[in-house]
Amino acid sequence: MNYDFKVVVAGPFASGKTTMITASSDDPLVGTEAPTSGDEAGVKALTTVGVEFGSLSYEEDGEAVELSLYGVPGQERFSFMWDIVSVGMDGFFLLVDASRPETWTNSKAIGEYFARLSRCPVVVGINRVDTDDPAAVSRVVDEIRHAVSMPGATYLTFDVMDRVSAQNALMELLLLMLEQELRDPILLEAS
Amino acid sequence: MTSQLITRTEAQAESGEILASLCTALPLVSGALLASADGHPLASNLDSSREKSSAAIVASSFALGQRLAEIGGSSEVQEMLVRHGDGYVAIYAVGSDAALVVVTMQNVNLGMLKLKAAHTISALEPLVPALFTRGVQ
Repeated sequence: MNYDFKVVVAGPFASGKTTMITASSDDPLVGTEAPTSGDEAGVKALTTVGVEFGSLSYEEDGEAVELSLYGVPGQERFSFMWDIVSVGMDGFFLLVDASRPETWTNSKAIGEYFARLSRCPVVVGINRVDTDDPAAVSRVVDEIRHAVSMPGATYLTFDVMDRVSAQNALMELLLLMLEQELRDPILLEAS
Repeated sequence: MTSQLITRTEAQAESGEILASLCTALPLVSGALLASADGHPLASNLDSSREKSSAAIVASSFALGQRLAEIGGSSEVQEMLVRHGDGYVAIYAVGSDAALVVVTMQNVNLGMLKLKAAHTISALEPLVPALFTRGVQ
């Protein structure tokens, strides 16, 4: 049995979407970046304005799984791209920047926007947690679980720059997507 | 060139005039917009209600156009043309950080459009640096 899942990665401006897809993709990322201007230029030099694409494949016990990763721009002015890219998505990955609480309401708004577009499985990936202390980490996760509440979502912390960490985060979403497939009676019949 | 010395306000006024004269030169051109590559309107004579959303759509399309150009072996997109039921929407590169969009009605002469767009691009290009407010704060 082969699986091919479409995953959309979204989150606020400068939350790490392009970095995450670059880190986890098997092939070089196909991106659409443009130089920033105005206030955004003070945060970083380039921003995604269209869509970016990466892919990741796993093979286990003769079963091949391919994840197609689609990154979308974070700024509200590009929300028409969210509508376009979300068509047919099997899983949704929402990025939250733990180091910038002022962006959390924006994360929540983006999450809610996508939740209206699709009822697929959701992972909320919390990036830039600057502590290793388990108690402190779980405090941050609880805070974000409250501030960026997404019904039914799995919350995890990870590092977008680290290939293994980013791939593990996507594995969590993959498991949710596989569960969803197995619950779907039509697909069970087809297999 | 004196363009580096002009203020943002002067550049805005001048680019507005350049876009207006394009519409006067070609009566079937119904509007034009200069957008930054990251999706902000820099100058426009479209309805103000459409400026912001149009600039973002143009930036996305233009970035995807660059990817299309790569299929053809080049990384530098110069022009994109969309033909629809009521006319054309043309996008032209203005340097590497901005794009000009021209909205036309159905029977526009595409050769004339190309020529006038080329004049407009060379008039706008030196103004682009002054139109940006980079690195504010």
